[in-house]
Amino acid sequence: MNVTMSETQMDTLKPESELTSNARPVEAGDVVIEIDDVNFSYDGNKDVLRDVSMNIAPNEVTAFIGPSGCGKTTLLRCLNRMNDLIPGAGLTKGAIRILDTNIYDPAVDSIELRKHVGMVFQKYNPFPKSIYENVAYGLRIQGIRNKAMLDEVVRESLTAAGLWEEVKDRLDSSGLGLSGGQQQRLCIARTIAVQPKIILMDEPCSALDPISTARIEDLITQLKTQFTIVIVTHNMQQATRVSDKTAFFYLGELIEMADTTKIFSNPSMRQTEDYISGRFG
Amino acid sequence: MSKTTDSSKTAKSKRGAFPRKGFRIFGLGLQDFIRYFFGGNAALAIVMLVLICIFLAMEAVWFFPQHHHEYRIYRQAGQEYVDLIGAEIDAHTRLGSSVNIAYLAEVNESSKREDRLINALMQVETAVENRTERLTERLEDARELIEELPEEIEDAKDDAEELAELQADLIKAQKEEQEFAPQWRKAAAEALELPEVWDFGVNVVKLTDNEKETIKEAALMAEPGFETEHPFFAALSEESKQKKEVARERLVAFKAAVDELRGAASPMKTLHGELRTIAMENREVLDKFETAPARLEALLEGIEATKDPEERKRKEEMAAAVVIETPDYVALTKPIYESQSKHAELIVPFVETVKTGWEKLPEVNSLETKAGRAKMRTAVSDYENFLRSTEHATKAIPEWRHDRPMSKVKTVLAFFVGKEWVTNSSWHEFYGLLPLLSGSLCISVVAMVLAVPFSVAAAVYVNQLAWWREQNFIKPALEFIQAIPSVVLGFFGILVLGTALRNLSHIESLSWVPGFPMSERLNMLTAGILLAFMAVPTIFTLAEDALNNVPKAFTEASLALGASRLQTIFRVVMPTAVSGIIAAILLGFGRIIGETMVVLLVAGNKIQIPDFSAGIGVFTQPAHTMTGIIAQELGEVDKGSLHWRALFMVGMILFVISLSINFAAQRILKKLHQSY
Amino acid sequence: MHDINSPVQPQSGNPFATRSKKAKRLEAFFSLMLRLATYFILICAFYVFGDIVVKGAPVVFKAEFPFVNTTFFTKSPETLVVFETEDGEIHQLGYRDFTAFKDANPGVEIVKENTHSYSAGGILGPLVGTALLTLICITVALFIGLAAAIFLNEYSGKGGYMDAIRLAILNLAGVPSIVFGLFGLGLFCLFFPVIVSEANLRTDLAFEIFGSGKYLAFQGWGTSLLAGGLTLAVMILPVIITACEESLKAIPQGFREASLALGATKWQSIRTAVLPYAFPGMLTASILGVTRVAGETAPIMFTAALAHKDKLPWQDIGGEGRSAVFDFFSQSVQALPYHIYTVSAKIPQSEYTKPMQYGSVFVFMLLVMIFSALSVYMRVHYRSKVKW
Repeated sequence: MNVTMSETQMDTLKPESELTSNARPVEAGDVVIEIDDVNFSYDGNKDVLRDVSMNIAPNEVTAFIGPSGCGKTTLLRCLNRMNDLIPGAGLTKGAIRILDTNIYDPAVDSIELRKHVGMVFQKYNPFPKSIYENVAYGLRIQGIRNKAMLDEVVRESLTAAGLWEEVKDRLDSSGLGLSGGQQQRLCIARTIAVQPKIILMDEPCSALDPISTARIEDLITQLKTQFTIVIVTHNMQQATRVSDKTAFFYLGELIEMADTTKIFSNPSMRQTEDYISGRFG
Repeated sequence: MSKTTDSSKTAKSKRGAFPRKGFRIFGLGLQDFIRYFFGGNAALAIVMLVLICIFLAMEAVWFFPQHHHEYRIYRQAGQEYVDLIGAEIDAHTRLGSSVNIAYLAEVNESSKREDRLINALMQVETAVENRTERLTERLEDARELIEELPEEIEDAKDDAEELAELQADLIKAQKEEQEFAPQWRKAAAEALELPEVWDFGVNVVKLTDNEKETIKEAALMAEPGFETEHPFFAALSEESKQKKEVARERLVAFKAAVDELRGAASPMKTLHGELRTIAMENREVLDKFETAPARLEALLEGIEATKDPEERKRKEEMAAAVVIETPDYVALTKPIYESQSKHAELIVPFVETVKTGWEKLPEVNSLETKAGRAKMRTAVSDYENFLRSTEHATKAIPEWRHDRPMSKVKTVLAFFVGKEWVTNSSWHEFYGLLPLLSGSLCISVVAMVLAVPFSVAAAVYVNQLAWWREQNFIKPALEFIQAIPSVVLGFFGILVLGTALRNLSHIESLSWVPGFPMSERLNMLTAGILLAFMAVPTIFTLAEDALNNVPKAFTEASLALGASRLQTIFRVVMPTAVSGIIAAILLGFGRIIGETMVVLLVAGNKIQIPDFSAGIGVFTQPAHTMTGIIAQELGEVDKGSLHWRALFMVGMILFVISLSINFAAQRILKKLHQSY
Repeated sequence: MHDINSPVQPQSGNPFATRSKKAKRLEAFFSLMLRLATYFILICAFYVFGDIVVKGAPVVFKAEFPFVNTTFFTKSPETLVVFETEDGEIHQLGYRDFTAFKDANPGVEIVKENTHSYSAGGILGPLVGTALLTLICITVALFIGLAAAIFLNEYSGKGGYMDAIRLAILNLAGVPSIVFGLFGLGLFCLFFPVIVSEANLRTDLAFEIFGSGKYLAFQGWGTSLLAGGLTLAVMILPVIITACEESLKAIPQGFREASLALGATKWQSIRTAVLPYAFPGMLTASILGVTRVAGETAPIMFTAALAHKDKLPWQDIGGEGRSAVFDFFSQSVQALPYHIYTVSAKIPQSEYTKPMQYGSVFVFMLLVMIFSALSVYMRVHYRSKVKW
């Protein structure tokens, strides 16, 4: 686990201004997210994650797989501190470092963190606002009022999410009027509009039909050139299709993490093999 | 089961394998009857609503014809004409009293400090007197005797028997004096220690310790037998008198103008008085004529029902005495028509005198006191009002005809936009909705302005920000508020809040607040505050529901985009819940406008349209409300009278208003539920 | 793990450092305002409670045994006479005691005498009246309300009829209480039929009942216990229906289906598989109804209440061919909220009237709060206990 960083790599990780940082060339072998021996509990007593450690490299898609209740979604929600919203929940051990900053440090503002670590939810959840306002929302809350800039970002984000052609004539109609797949892509557009460095996806396709799923998967593959993506999925085929690395969780522990091809062709652990061959879960 | 449904095909399969059991009447089984029983009970809700409509409408519908009828008599008797002149005089009286109050405020300002001290002393003295009442009497008697007896003893020197008696009396009186005098002083000192003695309520006087001591001294000098006044207060009242005198001299021109203005109406008042008497007599004649057939009918019915021959005979005589004779309208109204030229003659000098008097009054801003300036400002609008009313009367009086048909629309409008609600009057009963409606609305405005921010803020706080333990404590606490009966809040308003607010309003440093100082303890503000308190739980609960119904996914999505808690609340949660919150506010409004006990107890029950020229200060005036008037007057009117029907009409309007509010709120909520 | 040689990042290098101070302060300010608004409401509520408890409790409770002011609960309101005898002593007695005092001490000269209406005695009459009104109201409203709720929840289909009923219930809930008073006066007091031996002359609608010499006359019940109870029942009907429906809704659909699948009829499954489990919810509903109804004044002002009455409702009824039951229900009663209205608005205020005012209000609040707390407790209790 103990990946040592060279000083040069540290230099490349120096924070830059938000809106340009994603354009930075990243070399393979960088670490964007470092999860260090983490235990997590919802009530302070029973740990639902135990001794989880892993590194996530930039511009890669990392998939979390595992049976229901294995803690993969919990871990994902630790990465942008969405678990803070649950009273009493928190890390009981270890640390999570993103861009070399311990995100549970008191000096870290969870709100700032979430501007850098975006999230796409299982059930698409656009606001009951217009398509335009949905995408512009993240910028508006940062106080950006410049109409030209908003227009530009909305167009770019929708284009990046592959939705621009479909909605460009009805940007003012409600986001809730789109089809399920479109709504999910709208949510992705909304997330990338604030230019995060990392996008967390919590089973983004589980509520969608196969065609929409395929489009989202394509989108994920395109997006990884710009963002680091962590995706939780139940669907092992999806993991093989979109991810570069795969982590298998079982009963709150990280069993194995490796290149996706390796995991699915030649897992080193017995439990992993049982799971991917469909013997349980 | 298909066999039973297709049973008509063959006789054999008619009963099938699963025949229906139980008795059937007209094809309906027990289960159907049970169903209809429940359905019938549910339908009671509709029935009740319909019955409410019917019972309100039944009485209310007859209001307008009867109201119209009364107005026709009002015109035929010439009362309408008299009230035209009356309106001029009323406007003039209002103007006169406004300027006079302004003048008095100016005069009294000069000796303000002295008068307040004197008033304080008077209050303390009264308290001492109340406390020592019985002792005072006895002490007075004893001291009188001590004073008088020596003379009598002198006179009765010769009569030994009487002398002895008188001397014994004297000794007794002296003894009593010695006994009662310390008692009196003790009681008086006790009275002076009571805290309420020093509570000056409205006339908040800040007394220095020195002044307090002087007042105590002065109060103790009220002991019977001492006829002297405390030198400090003697000087004080002299000073007050002198200062007032100086002020009067300074304001002599003001006074003259006021007197001129106020005196201008006297010839017109005489004319009005004469005409009023005539019109009143006319009204009696007409009323007698109008009610004669009904009285006759009642008597005849009574005769039929009576068995006792004596009684029957008496009633028959009474029936025979009822004459139905059409009155001679022309003769009755002749003196009124004759007065038209008199009025034309009087009106010009009347208005001219008022105008010259008005010109001589000082400018508003040249006055020294706040009260004076405020009254003078009222006087400006009173003056305009006066000019308008005289102009109106000058035009309307020559055109007035007793036999002009009364338009139905006008009498209906006379209810809806009528500015007066006068009942139990020997002159004419006016039923105008405006004073009640405006009172109800003003109080609701106060209540809503207070309740909405607090309850919505609380809903947002509890739903979005509060810690769960806090939630579990705040929500039931607010439900408890809902359980407080309105009559208890009204009681609280009378005994605690009203007094507290008035005392607060008399604090000098708060006098910049519009409407302060309040002259009445019970007013729209007091009622509005209590109603706001009542509406808070309603609005809170519904608004909290609306916030709670905002899908959690919206909040999460917003937070995941890096929005702060408050940004999420104001940009996502509130806009999503806004229609629910509006519905909550509407329902809260419905509750406020229909509330009875609080306004009945606390609103002041003064039937008048609030004087909106006072600006925001209008809310510290007393008012009456639609709900309050029903509660107050319905118990004391005869069934079927015009007054009774007017009250039902008010109830009907209240019903319509609350139904519309409710309906609007339901519509909004329904739309909301359809949107997600 | 960190390379120990890696340069320590300066504080400004934290990419997730806190936002601008201004934004944070603004946020804290708004949160504080919202919090203050919430607690302000609670403080007002506590002040109202506190005032009533502090001034009312001393009237009701005493320091020595039996710790409760028994007269306050065993007597009805009467006039208070404050008088001073020759020896300078000030006495406070109820009117009856005052008369007795005068009879007992004919020699004592009474110097000063003031009367204060309704300020002596206790609140037994109003308490009993309110209890009876509430009881009648709840019995009727619960019966109708439950039946209606069963229809709406168990037999409900879609359609105009159902919508009409729901609309009517919603609208009935918004009608002002004074309008219910007018309605009750018009319907129950002045219109509902009574059987009389001689019809009122003013009534047009009177029918002779075949040969019995009695009339069925639509002349109303007058101001009476039953009229007041029914008016209140109509008023809380929407509350009761809604609450009963909620409790029926909480029963899982599976219970009904299981019962129907075993061959029970609809009514049997409602009776055996739904109602028993909905019972706690309905009990909560009725307690909720009690708190609402007990506090209402406007609807009973013209239909049932009266300010002064010497006898309790069950005293001196019946006799001379009149039915005791009829007499019982057709009498007017004192009621606690109306009593409070009377003592706070219809009598001149003085220090002697305060104990009665605060005592009545305190007892009234205590009762309402107890019932209210009970309904909250039961709701929470059953919600946490029942798991299906």
